[in-house]
Amino acid sequence: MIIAAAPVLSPSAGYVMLVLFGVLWIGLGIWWGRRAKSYDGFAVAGRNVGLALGTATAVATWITSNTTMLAPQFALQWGLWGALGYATASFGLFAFAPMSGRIRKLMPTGYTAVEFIRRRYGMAGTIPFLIISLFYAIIWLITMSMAGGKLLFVLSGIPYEVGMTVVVVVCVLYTLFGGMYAVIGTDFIQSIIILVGLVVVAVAVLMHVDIADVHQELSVERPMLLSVFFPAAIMSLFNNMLFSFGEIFHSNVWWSRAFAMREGVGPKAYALGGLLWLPVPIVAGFLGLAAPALGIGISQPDTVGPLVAATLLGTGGAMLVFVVVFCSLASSIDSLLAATSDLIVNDIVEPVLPGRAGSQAKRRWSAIAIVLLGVLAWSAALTSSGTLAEVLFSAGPLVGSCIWPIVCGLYYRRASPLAAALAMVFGSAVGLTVYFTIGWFVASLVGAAVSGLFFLIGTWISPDDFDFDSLAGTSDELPTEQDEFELAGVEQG
Amino acid sequence: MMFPLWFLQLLVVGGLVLCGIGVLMLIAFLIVDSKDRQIW
Repeated sequence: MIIAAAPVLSPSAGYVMLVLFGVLWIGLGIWWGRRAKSYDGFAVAGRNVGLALGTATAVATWITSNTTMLAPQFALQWGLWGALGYATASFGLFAFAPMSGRIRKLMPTGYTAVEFIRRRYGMAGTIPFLIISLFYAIIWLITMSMAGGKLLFVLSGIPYEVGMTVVVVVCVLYTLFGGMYAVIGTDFIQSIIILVGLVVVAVAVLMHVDIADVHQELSVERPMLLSVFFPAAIMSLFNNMLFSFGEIFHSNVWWSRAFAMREGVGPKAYALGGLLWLPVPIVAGFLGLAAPALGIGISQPDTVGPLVAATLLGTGGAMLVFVVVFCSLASSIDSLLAATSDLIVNDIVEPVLPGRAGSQAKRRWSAIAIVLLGVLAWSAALTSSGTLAEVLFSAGPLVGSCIWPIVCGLYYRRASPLAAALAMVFGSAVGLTVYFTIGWFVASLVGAAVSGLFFLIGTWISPDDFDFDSLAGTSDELPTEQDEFELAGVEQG
Repeated sequence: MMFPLWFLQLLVVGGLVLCGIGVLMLIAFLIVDSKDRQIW
C-alpha cells in the first residue's frame, strides 16, 4: 500500500502549537532570567548547575533536529550502518566527560573555548580556532533554522519562511531574557519531551509494523541496507565519530556547560548524557528503515522520520513529532546563541574595548550579539539551498582538525602554538579539499588525520613547556571593583 | 552477509528501553538535587 506523504496537520493546528510552545519557552526564559543578574549568571548560570540539569542539557543540546531528521535519512540511505554510525556521535560526549572536569579545574573562572586556546597557544592558535568556531556555530545555527522551516512545512504546510522565522525569533527571545539559566532550564523540559515523544512514536510505529516485517522487506527489496559489508557506510561511521569528537571538543556550546556545572558534576553529566543520547538516533533511524516496509513515499529524504510518524499516527502523531522536533530545534538553537554570543563578547569585543568591560557592559554586549546572530541565521536560512547534510558536513573537516590541539592542549605540556596552528590550518585545508573532491563521508576523517600528522611535526620542531597552573592564575574575569559597583546598581562617574 | 533479525530487534527494543530509563533517571536526579538544594 502506498500512503500519500502529504501534510497531515492543518496549518491552523501548526500555528496553535507554535504559539503555545513559543509562549511557554519565552515565559520560562523571562522567569529564569530573573536569576541572571550578573554576567556570570547570564553566561554560565552562576557556575553551580547540578547533575539533573547538567545531564539533561548534554542530552537535549546534542539531540538536534538533525538527529531526529538526519538519522532516519542516514538509515534510509546507508542502512543499519547509517543509524549505528549516527549513534557513534555519543562517543564525543563520553570522551568529553573527563575533559570537562579538567577544564573546570584548570579554568575555574573561564567562559569560552577560545579563551583557553588564547592562553594556551597565543594568537597563532587563536585566529584559526576562532574562525573555525564561528564558522561551525553559524553553519549549525543555519541548519537548525532551515530544519525548523522544513519541519513546519512538511508537517502542517506552514510556509517555510514563516515557520523558520517563528522558530528563530522564539529562541532569540528566551535566550535574550534568560541567558544560560533559560537555556539549561528549558533543556531539562525539552529532553524529557524528546525522549518520551520518541518512545511513544516508535512504539506506535511498532504497533503498525513488526520488526520482522521490516527486516523481511529490506532483505528482499533493499538488501544493501542490511548488509554487514557496506564500505561507504562503514567509512561514514568513523567519519561521524571523528566529526562528533571535533564538534564537541572545540565548540563553546560544550565548554560553556563545563564552566556552568558545579565542580565534580561535569564528568558524570556528560557520561550519562552520552548514555541517554546513544539510543536516540537508533530509534529515530528505525523510522527510516520502516519506511519501505510501510510503503510510504518519500519526496525529501531528510524528512523521512517525521513523515513516517505523521503518516502512520495521523493528527496526534503529527503533533507529537512537531513537539519533539521543535524541542530538538530550540534546545540547540538557544545553546548556540548563548555560547556563540559568549565567544563574540569575550574573544572579539572585550579584547578590542579600552579598559576592562564590567559585568553589566558584557551583559549588554551579549544581548546585542544574540540578536545579531539570530538575524544572521534567519537571513542565511532564508536564502540557503541544499539538503541539511550537505550544509552541516561542510564544517566536518574544520572541526576534525581541532581535535588534537584541544586534547593535547589540555593534557600535554609539550603541545606548542606552532603545532596547534599547523594542525588546524593544514587539517582544514586538506579536509575541505577531500570534502569537495571525494565526499563528506571521509572529510572529517582526513581532516583529523592530517591535523594529527602536522601536530606531531609541529611539536617535534618546536616543543613547548607549558605551565597548566597559569590557566587559572591569569583569569580575564576575576571580579573587579567596577563589577561590584555595577552589580550594586551604582553608576560610576 | 546481512545483519540478522535478532540484532535489529536488539537495537530497536534496547534503544526504547534505554530512552525510557533515561526519562526516569532525569526525574530521579531532579528530585535528589532539589532535596539537597543543588539544582542550580
